Amino acid sequence: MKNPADRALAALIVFSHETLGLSPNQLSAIGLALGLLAALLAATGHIGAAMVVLAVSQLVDGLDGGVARRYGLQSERGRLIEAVVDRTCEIAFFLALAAAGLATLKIAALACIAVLLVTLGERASGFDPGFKRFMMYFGYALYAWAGVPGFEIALSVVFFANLAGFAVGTVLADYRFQGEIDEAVIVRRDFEAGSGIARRPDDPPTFLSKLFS
Amino acid sequence: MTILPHLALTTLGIQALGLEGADIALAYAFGYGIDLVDHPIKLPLYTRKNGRKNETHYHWRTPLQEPVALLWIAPLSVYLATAVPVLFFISHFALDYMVSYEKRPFAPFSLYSTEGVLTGYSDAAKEVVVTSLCLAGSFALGHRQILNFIGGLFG
Repeated sequence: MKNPADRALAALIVFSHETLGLSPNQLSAIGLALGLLAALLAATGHIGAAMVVLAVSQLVDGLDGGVARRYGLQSERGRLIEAVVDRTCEIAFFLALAAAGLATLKIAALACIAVLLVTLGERASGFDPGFKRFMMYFGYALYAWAGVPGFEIALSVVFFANLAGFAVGTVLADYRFQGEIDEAVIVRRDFEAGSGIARRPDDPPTFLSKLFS
Repeated sequence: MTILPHLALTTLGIQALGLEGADIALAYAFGYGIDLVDHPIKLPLYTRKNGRKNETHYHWRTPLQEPVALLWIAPLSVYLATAVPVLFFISHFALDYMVSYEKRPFAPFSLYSTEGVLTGYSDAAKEVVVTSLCLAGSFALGHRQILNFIGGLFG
């Protein structure tokens, strides 16, 4: 098992699949139910209980992918279900914090948008800053122990990290694409040079290219 | 477009909207500064392909200054509670889409590419016209301050 999370959860992965007979999609469904329960608890003001249920839902969320990888049950549909479940739980929890008055609706909605943008861009960029739910524990710690609007701060961090993640992701994807285009030109140019084909004349130098050459 | 029209249009926009304080910084950041971040990103790719030789129509642009960037600039504007980033970013790429080099407006989600609008006219002519109009507009809006400033230098 290459994935460090899979190694840490190895016993639970085996137990949930071999003893309880749960498939990855069934685990995703349980994770979704727990995530929505956490949001309901948060919205009704039981924030301590909500954090505990959120942690359990995150644990179950780690098991579905682990079972899929360990038992060769990975599929494109499973990945899609996992992404939908994760985003649904996160968005429900963010909005629940706003409903409970623990954060403003504006920052909760913006954090949701930023998280969805990263999901939209991830297929092209392969980049996701992650740690969305971990930030909720950080927010709770600030709220419970430091008496500051911790969830507002945590959602602001989620918003900025994911917005920056989306922007950087688009640049990374475009950079890779440009690299492939350039590589094809370099290979063709080298082939033409090796074959004795006359190469296209260079563009006339500019002020800058004169300055640096 | 090159530096001058972007700077001139951003300055005109700041004057026309009467922006102050942090809004001026945001206007220059999204109306002009985004170019400074954007172009160096592809420098390693350019030098790998061309060394120090000039390639006039190399694709320097990244999605940071394509319309697709509105997906992150619009939420940022909402967070900051000001329309300045969106407005000045639109003014930035509107100028870029008037000149004829390749643009990929929806990259990396679509590799559709375009040369923009008004491609039948010379890029240099468009730059001169836009810059002249913006400078004239800036002078019209701010001539009193400019004349007072010059008068102050000699008075």
